[in-house]
Amino acid sequence: MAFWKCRGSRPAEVKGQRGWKAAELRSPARAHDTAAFSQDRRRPAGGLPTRQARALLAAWPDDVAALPAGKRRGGRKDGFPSPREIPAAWGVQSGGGGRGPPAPPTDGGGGRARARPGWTEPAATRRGSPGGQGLNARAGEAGEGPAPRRSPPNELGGGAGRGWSPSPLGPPAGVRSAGQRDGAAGGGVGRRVWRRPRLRAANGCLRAARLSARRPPAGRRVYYLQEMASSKSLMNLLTFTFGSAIGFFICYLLFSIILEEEVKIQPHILHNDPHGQHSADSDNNQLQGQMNFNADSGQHKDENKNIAEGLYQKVKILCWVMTGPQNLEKKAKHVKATWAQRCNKILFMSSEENKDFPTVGLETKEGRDQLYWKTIKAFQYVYDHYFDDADWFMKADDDTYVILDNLRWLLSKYSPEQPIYFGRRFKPYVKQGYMSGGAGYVLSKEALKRFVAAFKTNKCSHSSSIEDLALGKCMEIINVEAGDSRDTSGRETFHPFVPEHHLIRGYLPKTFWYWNYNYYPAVEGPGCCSDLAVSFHYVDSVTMYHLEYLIYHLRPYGYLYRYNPDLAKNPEEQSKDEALEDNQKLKQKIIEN
Amino acid sequence: MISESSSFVKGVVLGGAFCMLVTLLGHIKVGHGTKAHHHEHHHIQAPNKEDVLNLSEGERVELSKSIRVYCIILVKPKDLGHWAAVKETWSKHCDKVEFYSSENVKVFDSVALNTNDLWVMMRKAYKITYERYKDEFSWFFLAYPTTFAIIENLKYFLLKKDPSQPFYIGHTVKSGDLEYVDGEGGIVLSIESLTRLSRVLEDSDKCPEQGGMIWKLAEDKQLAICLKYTGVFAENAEDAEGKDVFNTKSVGALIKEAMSTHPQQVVDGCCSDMAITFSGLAPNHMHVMMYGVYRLRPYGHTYNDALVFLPPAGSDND
Repeated sequence: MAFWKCRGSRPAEVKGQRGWKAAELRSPARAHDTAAFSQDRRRPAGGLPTRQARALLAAWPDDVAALPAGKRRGGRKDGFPSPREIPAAWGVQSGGGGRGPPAPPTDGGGGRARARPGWTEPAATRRGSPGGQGLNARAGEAGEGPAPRRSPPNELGGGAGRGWSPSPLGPPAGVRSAGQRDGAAGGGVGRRVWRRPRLRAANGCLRAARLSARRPPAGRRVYYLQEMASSKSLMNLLTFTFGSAIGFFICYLLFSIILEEEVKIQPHILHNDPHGQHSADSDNNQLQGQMNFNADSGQHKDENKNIAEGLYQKVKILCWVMTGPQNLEKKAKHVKATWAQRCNKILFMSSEENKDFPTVGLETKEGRDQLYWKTIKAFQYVYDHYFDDADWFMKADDDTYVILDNLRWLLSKYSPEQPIYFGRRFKPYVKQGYMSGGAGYVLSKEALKRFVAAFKTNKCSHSSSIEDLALGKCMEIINVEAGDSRDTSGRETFHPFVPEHHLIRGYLPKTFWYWNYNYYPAVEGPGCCSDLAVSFHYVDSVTMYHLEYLIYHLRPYGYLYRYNPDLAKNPEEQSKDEALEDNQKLKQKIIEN
Repeated sequence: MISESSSFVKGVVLGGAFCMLVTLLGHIKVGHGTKAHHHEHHHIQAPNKEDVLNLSEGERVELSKSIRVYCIILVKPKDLGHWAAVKETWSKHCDKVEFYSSENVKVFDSVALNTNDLWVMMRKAYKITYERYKDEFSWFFLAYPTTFAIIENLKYFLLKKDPSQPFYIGHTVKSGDLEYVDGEGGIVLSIESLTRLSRVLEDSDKCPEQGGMIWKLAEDKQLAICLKYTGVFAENAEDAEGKDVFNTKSVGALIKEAMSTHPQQVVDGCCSDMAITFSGLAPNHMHVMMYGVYRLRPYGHTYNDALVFLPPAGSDND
């Protein structure tokens, strides 16, 4: 049978079946049917009373015959021509009523059945003739057959053109219900003017169906078609529901993502190289503008900056920031807008000169391997042009935040004539330790002098491109001391990461290089960082302003800080009361000044 | 095949359209609220610094003793990380802090309210607070565990305000006719307001446990409605320059917001020097704020403050 060669398992969609609904298909006007049956036909007692019926049944595929009624109703999904087509193809009904089996029930029906199994209905029904009965009489096979067209409300009515009626199929009485269904199908169709349906070749099934349409249809094919049609509508409904659920779900997801204001946790930036690699910078936090917190001078009316200003005069610091042409807008700009103005002198060092920013051109290339070259040349430049203008010379990156006031406090205890330099001290490779490049380091005047001289006399050379390590080795060679930058309570002041990385216990994994590099025992948690911290590294643009705000603007009113930097070296020796007393005395002194 | 796929597509489109409709309807309701909240506010300002400086020594001591703030933190077990952070950081600076939890949690002490609904939690918390502490504290501060609060600045803000007046202060939002304090920024009630609130909470006509018909009203709105019946109105807290002191976002978010509206320009500082709250913080951020506010500072900058607050005993993290 051609229809079994269908590609895919879906029945072909056949258009033009508006009136067909699965419901109609599946719920034939059984009441009518049965009524009709009871009125007009007498159901055979069951079994196959007639010879014709048996013949028909023989032609019925075994498997179908063996199926229980319910299963048969479920139907196969082979492609079948629509009920409407079939009639046309076979020229059975529509007007061909005449051809229908108007014959008296038994004979006509029976005869018909033989000639064209299952196709007597159309004419018969249209006529409203006892063809139905004939069917019935034809015995159990058609058992149900469609209710006589005569029953108008019934879908089966209106024999107008449908004429086609579903199967008399040969099924024995057992399959009655199926037949009823078919009847309903036929009925539904029967309501409209029958047109030659347009067969859409959705797949091979349809073609096959068409083929089979030309043949005297096995009753079962019609049966299948109806079932397929009803199941198709069911499928449509299912897919529609499914589709709408999916659409709703997707849209909901999209909206919840768009509308959600979640707290964004900063990406966990782990820098796997202790020597300050900046390659992993994300552009997420790139800020376009700048923020000026100092415009709110009104809020600082009660601020007393005398001590800070005194230190500004006493401890002169020149800062130079290592940057590059590609970072001027992205990073260096924000440095300039925040902490750089607090240096006594600020210089931005780049490979190229930029008069607008302004930056100093060092005439090197850009790149990680150029860092030491840039450092050497930068210090050289500073020595040549600004040596007398400052006492201390601080190097920072364009993602370092430096708190100058605290740096001055730290350096105020040393003399610039000492050959010493400060930073975050690391222990590997250099006996006295070397200072981390990212956290920044500051050279005394004497140290700078010796450094520059060392390159002239070749005591030091560009030994490697790892800037901080090479500089540390050079410092050791020229006898510049690596100072201890910790505060009076032993907490670190220069930090190679942002505060969050140090303050949160467990943020930096224990296997991280950091734990092995620290010269002094590294601490995480609140003890990590001095109240008077000097620098943080890997600070993105938003955090620059964040720090600026937290340090210089936001403050807890009236709060007495726990740590007092001006006490003697061993605060543990003093009791807390004494500390407070000293604090009060200090406040008084300041007020008097 | 084609009819199925077409019905599928139709279904998808319909589902999407329906969802969009529902969401936009719900969103417009909220959006409408947050849109215009500019000029019909009640504003309330922080005291002027100079005024405060003129106080005598005796008055100052009196003041720092008399302003006592009781902190209510509404928590749920799912907020455990935030809860821990709040417990370890700023809540130590309250005169007394208590965590009101939806259910009992083994790890931390809390007052179990046995309900999951935020509005019911709020009602119960306020009721319990009134019953127990009406004689001990003059100001009551309610916050969520995502909020970071600087209690010293709160006390400064309340310095010259009379707690026997009905105050209901925070970051206000206008939603239609209703002006309410956004819970994210923290809610401050004076003892008078709390007294009136506890009275009206009994009245189930004006202040039912299940307010709102279709959409459930947020608990901060419900609070505003109840208080309105007692004649207590929300006031937006600002500093001397008009900047909000209660913030419903974090510092980073506020900075980004300010800069995104004016790219390529220099914008004014986002936030007040006397800010009291920031919200939307992760537990890590709370520790960073704690360090940044209470410890990290520039050497050599001193202030002559009228009040003195000592760090709490037995803690080095502040």
